[in-house]
Amino acid sequence: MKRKKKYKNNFLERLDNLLFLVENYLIGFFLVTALIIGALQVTLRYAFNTGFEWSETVFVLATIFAMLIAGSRAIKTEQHIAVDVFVLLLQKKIQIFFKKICYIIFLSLVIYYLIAGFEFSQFSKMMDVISPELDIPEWIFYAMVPFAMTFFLLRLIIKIFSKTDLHLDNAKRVNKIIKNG
Amino acid sequence: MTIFLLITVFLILIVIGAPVAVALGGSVILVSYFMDPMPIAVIGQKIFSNLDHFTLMAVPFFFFAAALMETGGLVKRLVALANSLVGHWTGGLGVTTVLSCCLFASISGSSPATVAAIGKLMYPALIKEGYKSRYALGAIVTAGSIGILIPPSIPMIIFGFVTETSVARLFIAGIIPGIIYATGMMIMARYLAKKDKNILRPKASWKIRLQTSRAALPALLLPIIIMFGIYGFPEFNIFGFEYEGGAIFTPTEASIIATVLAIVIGMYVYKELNFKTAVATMIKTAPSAGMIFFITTNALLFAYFITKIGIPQAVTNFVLSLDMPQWLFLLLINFIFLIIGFFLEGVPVVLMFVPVLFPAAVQMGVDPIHFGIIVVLNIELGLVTPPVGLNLFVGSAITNQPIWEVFRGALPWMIVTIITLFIITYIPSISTFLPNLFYK
Repeated sequence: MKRKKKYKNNFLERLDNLLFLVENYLIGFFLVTALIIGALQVTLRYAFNTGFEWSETVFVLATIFAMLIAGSRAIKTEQHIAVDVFVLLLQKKIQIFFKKICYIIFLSLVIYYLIAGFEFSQFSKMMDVISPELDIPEWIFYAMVPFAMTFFLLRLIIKIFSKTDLHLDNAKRVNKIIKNG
Repeated sequence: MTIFLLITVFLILIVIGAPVAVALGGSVILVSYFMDPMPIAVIGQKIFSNLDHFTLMAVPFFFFAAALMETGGLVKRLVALANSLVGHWTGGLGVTTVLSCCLFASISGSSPATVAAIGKLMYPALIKEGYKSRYALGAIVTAGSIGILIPPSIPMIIFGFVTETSVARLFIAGIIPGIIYATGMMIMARYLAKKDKNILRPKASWKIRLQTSRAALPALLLPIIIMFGIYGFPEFNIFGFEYEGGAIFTPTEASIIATVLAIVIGMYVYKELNFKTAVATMIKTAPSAGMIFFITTNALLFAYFITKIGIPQAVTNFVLSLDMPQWLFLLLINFIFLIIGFFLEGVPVVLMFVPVLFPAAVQMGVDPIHFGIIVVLNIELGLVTPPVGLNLFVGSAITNQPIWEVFRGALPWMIVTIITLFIITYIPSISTFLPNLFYK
């Protein structure tokens, strides 16, 4: 039993580390891309009176993608804003119970969005819509939602199955965020 | 029945501590499933298309600009400049805190970011100089709220995005209220310091002032470039280089330029930043903006649903049926936002309540820009009121003081916020003068 628990914790820890690494690469790559393209767009337009017709689309898509993945990271760092003043009035055990319930509700919503995003990507693929600026199928953009929701899903699974911290009050949480990013 | 169920589910989720985004999205999905089904693919499309707006992209980049300013050493130079200019006044360090917050606010669009950046430097300095802990805490958390009034401002971007109001107009509308608010804060800083009989500091010599000004000049150029970029220069033709006048870039492009300049200044002028740290800072800051994006997409889904079932129209009709004068309506709006501000943060407040109240405000003859500034000022008040005042949490976290102590410190300073709110509410021209001047 103990061995099984240890194995589970090791697995969750490894999954957490792997996600952390992949998130870092994705957020970093897409933000730098967005920043370079955004800066290039302004410079080319105003200094050289020229530009690429695809730059705004790529900038927006790269930023959205980075932000969706950053939303998944915000689950790890507990940065999703919640009104926890009422729960804080309860006993620690009940607080943890409600926290788990909230994670399960969050997970249900994420699964729904994953399916919804997948359905819409499929629909878009079926319609064979091509982006006029990038000349690539638009379903690729819409696939961002199910892709990012998979990260959300994994993060929430880690939260649900790993040992829950005793409920942090908001000040401690902000402190943790400031320290750990 | 649908609205009753929607509000009940939303409130249950909020009370049990579910994230605001989950409460918004979850309540819509559940209620629409039973009462007014929406095709699943439509929701899939909305999750993406709700975010697919160029204006919204300014939010993460203003966050990054603020974080990079701190890592790149821009903030400490701005604080040193403010200190050398006003540090010798009665309550000099309190005034320095307010002035530093204003300077930082002109690049950052976030209040908590302003509190964290300035507070970390100013709190130890204030305590060292013999200021009472409550004075220091109050100065940091309330002056930090200027961050969202002086342009650029993240709540203003969200407000403009939700109501389709020009973000550039909203930004410029925040300048005069920002100056009034900052002046009020400085007066309060002097008054409280006089009451506490704080020791006066020696006046900085002109040599030191010149040194700090020179050191802070690159950092000061940032807000100047942003403002000129958004509002433009008059037309000119120099040596064949012709410029037709008008804006050079949009607020979103301004956020990109601010980020790039913060990196360039941090890397090549102050030499406290390298490419690796710059990227790491952006990755570290990204979850704050990612969280806002997730709330935004859920809140817009919520707004879509309530519009579909006719709530904003019903609220507008109800307000009009009351036949109340505009001053009473504005008082009511302030009261509603005050209550909401006790429990919710700025961005969710704008995303959830502005779509419902904005049509009623417009029908009552309130200028959209004026309404936007009133909302932002109410958010400022909400940031320093418990139980959910983000500035209080940040203030408590960076100073290791209990929340209650931070709130007690903020109390006298909040008088300034409330007075400013009333002045801005009942003298609309303070907010509309500059936008009308620039956009005839």
